[in-house]
Amino acid sequence: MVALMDSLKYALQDSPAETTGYMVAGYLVIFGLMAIYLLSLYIRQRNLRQEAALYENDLENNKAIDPEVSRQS
Amino acid sequence: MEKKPRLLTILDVVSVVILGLATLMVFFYAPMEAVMGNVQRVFYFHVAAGWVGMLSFMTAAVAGIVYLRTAKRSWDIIGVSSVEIGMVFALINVITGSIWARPIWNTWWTWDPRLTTATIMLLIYAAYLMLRAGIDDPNRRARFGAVYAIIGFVSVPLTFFSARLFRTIHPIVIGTNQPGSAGAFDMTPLMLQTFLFSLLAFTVIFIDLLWHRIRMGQLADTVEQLKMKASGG
Repeated sequence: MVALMDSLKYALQDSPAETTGYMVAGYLVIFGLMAIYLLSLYIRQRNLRQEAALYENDLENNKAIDPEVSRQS
Repeated sequence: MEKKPRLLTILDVVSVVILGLATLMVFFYAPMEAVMGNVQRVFYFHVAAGWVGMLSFMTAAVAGIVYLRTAKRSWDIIGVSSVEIGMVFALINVITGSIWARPIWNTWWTWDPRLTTATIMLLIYAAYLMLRAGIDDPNRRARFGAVYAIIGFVSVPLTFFSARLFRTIHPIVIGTNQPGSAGAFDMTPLMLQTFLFSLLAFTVIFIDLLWHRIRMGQLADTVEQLKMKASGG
């Protein structure tokens, strides 16, 4: 019965349904979520690089101050 | 951190170009569906995102198996990277499906078997990321992640086949639609080409993102080692 009603509805419909707004919303979600993930990757990577540089600096400074550390590493 | 490989830069460019081309095909190459109108265009990236989600979870399960056999840290990084990317794409898949459903099914959401299993799959992998974050010991975390990814993968084929095994209104692309399915349509050759190209585009993007995310995981490991050295550990 439902299938029959659907067929009737489609047969009576002379032009496609106006659903452009939903399409736009769909693609905003797709590109929006992708952009957010890319941004999160970029920020996390940048923070890790900064952190690595900080620790490397610390280790260099320790080597300069304490020759024992330098010998150990 | 190692210098960015040239191949990765090329892959970045290819990903952007292929995504641009797929988008152009969706909007200007594929014809408008006669009944649903423009919202049907969501289908191309909706299915492609679902495919990448499942591919990611499968990659995580394979990485889990290899990790349990070899205990190599790199496989754990591949596993967690895959799950993270899979979550993004599975979420895109579920949200776009809901947007498509509103004008076609006249509801944003219904507890149909396909929608229910997809939600369970998403929650299983969200829990994977949350539970992992709660384990401090790297070896325990990796072992837990590996076992969880293997067991959690059961939800993937269950989601894929749910629309074929159970009574559902969700249309399917490969195979015969159930009598009660709503929103099914016959693909014209141009639609099929757009669909296949979208699948290819999203697969390339997945490989590119996975590579970036793995490099980030390796960098996090380096930072952890430097931290231990700096604190005298």
